[in-house]
This record gives sequence, structure tokens and C-alpha cells, in this order.
Amino acid sequence: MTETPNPPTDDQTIDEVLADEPQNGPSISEDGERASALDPRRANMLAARRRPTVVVLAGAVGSGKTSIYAALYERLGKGPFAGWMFAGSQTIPGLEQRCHWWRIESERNVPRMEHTRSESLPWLHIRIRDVERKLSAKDLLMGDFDGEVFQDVLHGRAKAEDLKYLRRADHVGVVIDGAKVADPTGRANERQQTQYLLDGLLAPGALASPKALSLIISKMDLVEDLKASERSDVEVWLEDLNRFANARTGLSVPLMRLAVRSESSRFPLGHGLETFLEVLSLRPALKIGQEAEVYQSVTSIGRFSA
Amino acid sequence: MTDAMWNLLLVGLPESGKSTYLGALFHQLKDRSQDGLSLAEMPEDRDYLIELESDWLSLRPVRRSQHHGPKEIRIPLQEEEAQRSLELVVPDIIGEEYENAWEHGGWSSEIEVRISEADGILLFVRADDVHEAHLIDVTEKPRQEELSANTEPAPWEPSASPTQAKLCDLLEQVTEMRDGWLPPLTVIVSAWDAVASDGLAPEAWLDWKTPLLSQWLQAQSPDLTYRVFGISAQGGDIREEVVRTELAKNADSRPLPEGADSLTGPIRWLLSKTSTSVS
Repeated sequence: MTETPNPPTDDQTIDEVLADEPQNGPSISEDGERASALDPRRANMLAARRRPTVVVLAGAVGSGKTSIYAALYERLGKGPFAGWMFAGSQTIPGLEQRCHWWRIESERNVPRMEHTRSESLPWLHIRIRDVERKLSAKDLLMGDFDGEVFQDVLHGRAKAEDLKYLRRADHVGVVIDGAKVADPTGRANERQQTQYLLDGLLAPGALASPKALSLIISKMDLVEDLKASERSDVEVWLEDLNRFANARTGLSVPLMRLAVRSESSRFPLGHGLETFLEVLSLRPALKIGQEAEVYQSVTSIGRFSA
Repeated sequence: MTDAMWNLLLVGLPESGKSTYLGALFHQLKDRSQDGLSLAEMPEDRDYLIELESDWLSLRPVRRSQHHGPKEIRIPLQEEEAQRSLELVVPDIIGEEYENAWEHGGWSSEIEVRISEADGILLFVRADDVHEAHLIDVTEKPRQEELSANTEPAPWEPSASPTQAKLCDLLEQVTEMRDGWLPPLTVIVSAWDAVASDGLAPEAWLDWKTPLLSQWLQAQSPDLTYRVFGISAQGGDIREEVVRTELAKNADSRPLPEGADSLTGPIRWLLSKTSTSVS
């Protein structure tokens, strides 16, 4: 039987919540090599110093969670974009490692992303700043967790309220695998799995607020490659799923469409990330017990230009 | 007798031009006054500097790791306009230490002290040795036999990472070591002669070739004061015989390629930014 955690209180600091997490590894690995990401202790230190925006992407193994983080770093490595510039990172080795299979140094012919393992250190960090430098830098602390964790939640084998980092997260993006959505035979199951996951995440005490929630469809290029009639079916499917999320939360849940590392040249590296950053910046960091602003898009969310 | 000590930290990966710069700078300051800056007196401990200078004058690659130098280099300087003398102190940190910090994280306690004491930083980026990240070209579809033969990717090697990632990480580590604050910093784009014909100013070149590093520097504003210099200590690519022969005609006064700054430029700029804080 899993122990039910105490619900967070209004005066509980983010550090206290993160400190509840199990310590699952030192910053220096057993072979003495440098750790590539932050363990909860170091994530806490960062949280105490810089008050980061905490992001957790939830989705099945292979849905594209790690690729979103990696693409953000890789895209910034080409120069500023969407009005943001790179301002630093305490996990550059981890981000480099995650980008490796996308690069020719991996000696591969097609880009792939390595599966995040449960024993991997989970927290990645990127600091960004507006290119006009009118605002102070924004720290993003991004949880890169093994998709098995979320599969356990949607199957009812684990409770989301036991994953305390979810309650600390200012943004929880439910990642829907666009490859499965593009496949008519995989679509129904993907919807069901996503609905189970949403139900799990919206259990009392799991999230700081349902306003933290977003829907993200990855690999959207595969959907865009479909025939017009099939694309139309997917649009209906997405609207249906979005309605489900809106009904469960009583809110308008943002839906983002990403194709961050497409094998088609029509979709440049990081496609859709401008929307991702927009959501992160327009919806301020939640403090536990504090309501976030209602999300209002300033651009057409995730729509591909013709 | 000097009025003050001025601690400069030279940060750069192996063979990024740190030792070449020191050897050439020492020679030029000794030779004659350089834009209001000169050698106040011969350094007491000068064996190592003379070795570096000798390599430079002989048009040989100056590689610090081949020499056994002192723990720090001290060069007495005379600021002519301000009529003051100061001792430039450069700790002996070889490029391999920085490569090691990238691959493993952290520094020895001795280097930590040097980092925390620095009044200014010179960050070296070698223009003709920037390793960039190259994405797999998705527009070229591999043949089926290539796909099947290409299942095991080569493992990630930290040493093969892009130069900009390594340098950003080093700056992050130095900043953390100094409790989130950096002293005035100059970026020295060394071997500027190799890229002078591109027609870019050093700052624009840095934007182009190392955009992550360039953004990192810009994003620290206004907390960080920095400037980018293009420096050609050797005056040309001494691996090429034709160039060596040409440079040998006037080995102790090398030509300044288009857009290059003088060797003392970064030092004078750093002095102007730290003159009130040198103790």
C-alpha cells in the first residue's frame, strides 16, 4: 500500500515540497564521472536561489518528452528564437548528451532520442532571457522522467499524488504521441490512454492547480503528412480530447502542436517551441495555493503555417 | 616596486592560444611601449616567459603543457598615462585543467582560490578550431541497407562536444565558484588571421560561430562587462611553410590582419574597467 502524502499547504515553500522527493542519486556518478542532470538535492539548491519555473512533461515512453527539452537547447544553440536567448544552464552536459543522437557524431543516419531511464537524474535546467533584456532571466527547471512512471499512473499502479514533483510543477504538459495519433489504428487507444493519464493527474492533491495543465501533441509533422481527410479526422479527435480536458478541469486547457525534430525538412528544428515558451512565459509560475492567470494566447497556438 | 597586484585569469581549452598570447605580449611589452603600456622591469622569475617568447620568435607552436613553468606568471607593468606600476599576475592553469572541468566538473582547491581572486578574465576561443554541432541531415533519406547497418549509435563522448557548450559550461562553473558574479571579461578570438578575410567584426564572428556563448554573454547584462577582441599573436598560420618564411622576415613584429586588435588591447580594456578595484 502506498503512503498518501500530506497535501501541500499555502505556506509550504517549493524547497520543502521538492525536499520530499526521494534522493535517487548523487551529482557525481558512481564511476566518478560528472552527473549530467540535477538530482533533487541540487534541484532544490537551484530552486532556493533562483525561484525557477518548474516544468514536468508527462507521457508514455517514446512520446517525445525528452526531445522537447533537447530541442529547446539545440535550437538555442543556433541563436535566439521566439524573442528568447540562452542565458545559462547548470546541466549543459546532460543537454549535450540528450542531443547526441541527433548529431552526425552519433554516426547515425536518422535522428533518434535515447529512452530516459528510471535511474537517470531527472532535472534539466535552462535559463532564458528576452532578447531585449528588459526582463530578468527566467530559470526553467525541467523534469525529464522515465515514461514508465506515467504509464504506472494511467494504469492505476501508482498515484500521481505520490509524485510530489507534480504538485510543485508550475506547468505539467501531457504529451500525446503524434505518431500514434497519425496512425488510424493507434488513435483510439492513444485517446483512452491520455484520458486515463489526465484522470490520474487530476486526482485531488496531485497538482498544485489544474491550471498547471497543458496538452502537447508531439511529432505533429506525421499528422501534417496525412491526406486532407485524415488530417480532418485528427482535428476532430484533438478537439474531442481537448474538450475532455476542459470538462475535467473546468478550464480552457492549452493544446500545443510540436514537431521539434522532424525528419521532414518542412519542419525546422524546434518547430512549435515558440508556443511552448509562450505558454511558460504567459502563465506565471504557480505558488502552491496561488491561482495562475487564465491563459490567453497571443498567437494562433501551434498552428502550422500554410 | 609596484603599486598593486592585478590578477588575471586566462580561460580556454587546450591549444586555444593562451600561451602564445603570453609569449607574444611579453616580447612586445619588453621591446617597446605599446599604446601607453610597457614592461616596468624584467620579471624576477622569467625563465618560463623567455621560453614562451623563444617559441614565439622561432615561429614554433607555443604549447604550455610542454613546459614546466612556475605556479604563476608575474609581469610588472607600467601604465604610462596613469603613472602607476602594477604587477600582472596570471595563474598557471593549463587548458587540460579546463577540459577536465568540462568532462568531470569542479576544480582543485588551488584553482578555486585563483578563480575567486581574479580581477579580470580573458576567455580564449581559437578561430580556426571551433567544433560546431552538426545535426543529421533529415533531407537525405538513408537507403534501407544503411538503416539496418546503423542500429548502434556511437556513444556520447564529452570531449567531442561543441566548443560553445564547453565554454558556456566553464563560465557557468567559474560564475558559481564566484557566488554568481564575474569580473570584467574579454573574449579573445585567437588566430584571427584565419578568419580575417570573412570581413566580420570579432563580436559578429562570435555571434556567428558560437551563438550559444554569444547569447550567454549578452544575457548577463548589466551584471557582466565584456568585450570581444580579434587577436593574431602569430600573425598567420605557422603550420604553412610559406607563411613561416614570410613571417620570419620580421619575426618580432608580426603583421596585424584586417580587423585584428593589438595584443595589449584586451589588457588595456580590462585595466580601464578594473582600475578602481585593483588592490
